[in-house]
Amino acid sequence: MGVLLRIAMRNLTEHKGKTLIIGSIVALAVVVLVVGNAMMDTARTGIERAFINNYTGNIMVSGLAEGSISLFGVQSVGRLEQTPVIPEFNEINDHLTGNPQITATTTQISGFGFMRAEDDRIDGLENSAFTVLFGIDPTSYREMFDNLQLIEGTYLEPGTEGIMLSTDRVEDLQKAALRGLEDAGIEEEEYEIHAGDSIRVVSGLSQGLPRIRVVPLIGIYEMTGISEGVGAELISYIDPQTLRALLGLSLGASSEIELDYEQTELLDRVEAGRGDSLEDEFFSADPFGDDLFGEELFGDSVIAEATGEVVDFENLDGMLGTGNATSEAEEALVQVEAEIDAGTTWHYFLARVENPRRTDHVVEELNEWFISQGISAQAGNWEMAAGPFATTADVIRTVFNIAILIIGIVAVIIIMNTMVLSVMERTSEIGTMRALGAQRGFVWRMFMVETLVITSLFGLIGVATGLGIIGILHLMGVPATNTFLTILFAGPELKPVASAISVLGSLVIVSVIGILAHLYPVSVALKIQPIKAIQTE
Amino acid sequence: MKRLIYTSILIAALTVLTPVWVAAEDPDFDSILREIDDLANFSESDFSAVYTIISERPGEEREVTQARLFRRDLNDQFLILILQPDVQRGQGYLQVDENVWFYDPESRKFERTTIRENIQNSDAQNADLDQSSFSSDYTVQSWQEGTLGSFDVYVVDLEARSSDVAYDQVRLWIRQDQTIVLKEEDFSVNGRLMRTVLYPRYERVGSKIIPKQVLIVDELNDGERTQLTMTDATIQTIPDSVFSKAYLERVSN
Repeated sequence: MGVLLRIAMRNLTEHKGKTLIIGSIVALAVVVLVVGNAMMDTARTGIERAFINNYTGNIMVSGLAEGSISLFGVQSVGRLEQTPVIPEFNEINDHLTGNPQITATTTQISGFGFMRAEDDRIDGLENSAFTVLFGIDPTSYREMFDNLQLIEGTYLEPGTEGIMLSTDRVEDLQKAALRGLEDAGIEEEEYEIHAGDSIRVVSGLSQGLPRIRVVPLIGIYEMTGISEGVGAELISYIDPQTLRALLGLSLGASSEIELDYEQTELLDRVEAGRGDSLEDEFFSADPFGDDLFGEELFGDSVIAEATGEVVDFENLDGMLGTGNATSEAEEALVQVEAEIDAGTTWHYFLARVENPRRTDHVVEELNEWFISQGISAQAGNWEMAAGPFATTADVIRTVFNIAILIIGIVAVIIIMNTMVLSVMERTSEIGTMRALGAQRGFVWRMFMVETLVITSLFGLIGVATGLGIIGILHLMGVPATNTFLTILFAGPELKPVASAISVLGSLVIVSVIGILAHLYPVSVALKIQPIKAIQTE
Repeated sequence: MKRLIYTSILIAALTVLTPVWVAAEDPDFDSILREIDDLANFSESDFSAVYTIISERPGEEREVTQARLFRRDLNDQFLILILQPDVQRGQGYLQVDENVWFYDPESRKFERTTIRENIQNSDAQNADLDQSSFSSDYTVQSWQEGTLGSFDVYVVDLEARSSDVAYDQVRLWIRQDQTIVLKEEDFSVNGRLMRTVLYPRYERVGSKIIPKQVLIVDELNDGERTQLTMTDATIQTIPDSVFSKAYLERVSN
């Protein structure tokens, strides 16, 4: 080995120019890999941390839905899907709090709505600002997510009605208010909204006609350590009781209303599905002799006469009716109301785990437990909780990763090319050595040692340069100049940090490439007869 | 040879004349659409009825909403008062001219908007209960004769005149012997079928003919259907006070 190393070193110093060229390419490749990896790693952990620390926690537990579910509701085509309420609340709660791997839990309800300052001069949904509403349990939520920095007012208190807005939402509210004033023909330069003001919240339309509540603005906050583009700027925190009312979460007894045959007839007939198509079912003479859709009822008598009963519009009591809900329906409603009073009506549990690396494992365990207990609930990680926003961040990250990969591949090709050429040039040298009695194995080993020396020496130089660059970037911070970069960096700037694993990984990758690059040309050179190899010039 | 020339002229003449002859027999769809609108619109009287809306989704219980509708088409006044389910009783949707107000009986607040939306998350839209306006909203693109079950129908393709309507393209199956729509298909701008609506039964209310039972099939979400049923229809005069915010406040007091 000592002889090999000496020969290798001598060869490298003999061909100083060539060694330097190959070496600098190796070093450059290492720099690209080390710096690129560091930026990617930092961005990834940054995005993850931004979500986990600000509003997703490590684990989210929710009820089951047809579409994919996140803290922003259920994704579905063409309509607004209702977010399921957590079933078996107490059981799940006991299981989560009794799990030694889970360090903290909190509960949440989500919805969306439109807000505006409650001001007699302003009206109209068009003069409102959109918001995602998080109904939270203030005490446990604050313990889990502690990066709200109050600018004005106070934090929500348990059992108190109110809403907390981010400075971003307040700005939107102020703009909406100015629009509203303009609509009303009132000219004002600015509109200020402060803690203590009344805010009108109109629920989204996922549950019938919208509901309207006016709540006090308890506090205005700024989120620290999070950027735009991850959804946090859309969130407003509201007391859970108000949000339950806005979402009509007590709804649940509607199917118990007594119905006439004709009110469900079409649906029942489609379900029974006797006709080949809906057209046959409803517009053909009925071969089964059904007396309602029988032949004699077609023709003109598809048009019936109205009963012509007189309605007393001024009889207000009679107008709304007393409701014809059955006693079971009333019981069900009472039960739902009792659950709401007991504070067990929530959409989500959010949990922190002791060891974030084991998150997926804990999620898996929870899901197995739900199945074994027959509970229609599911657990997921922060990516599931962040839903569409995690996907956005993911897409951008993938694009960035591909860019780094392409740079890496280009570097590899250059290294391989240079190495192949350098070995080819030494074909006559190989021939001479073989003619002097050198074994094939010796030649192989000699080139191997040369490569290892060159890659480790210049690789280390590359690592040092890369670390230097990372250090400078870390001190300066890479500014995110547009939204794309803001999401990617999970903040206004990126301060890259190198990890030992990625540095070692880069060195190994470059060494392996070096060795692979030698294999082909050396094997070609060794196949040539020594005498011909000597003659090659 | 002469004979051949005469024959050719005759054929040519027939070829030219035939379309004219067919065109003379063409149904006048503009007036048919007007007739359809007219049959469903109450310009001379008020109209009120109770609608039961039942929506069905796979794996879920049927959702029932019942509402009373008040219409004064002459002044574009429109009120929907929710009767069922219990937790929504008293909620209202009041339209006077261009303005729409929602009413929340629990907080006793109104909210104004101009947004169109679906009723109670069903496939039915407010436009389904409002005045019919095919003739002013759409133009006839093409038509053909056909049958629907045991009925002879005209199948008419309509295209929206503006983007203010819920659907850009509509296909109607209109009974030939009696001007009523039996089936309707609604398409999006890019021609995707959004929903199919069937009108198997109508009811005569005064001089008008109003769908009594309607089945709406959601074509985007398989297995999702909604049935609308009209009961207690009347054309008696509705007091002016009904079309006011005060009525909504009083009725759920």
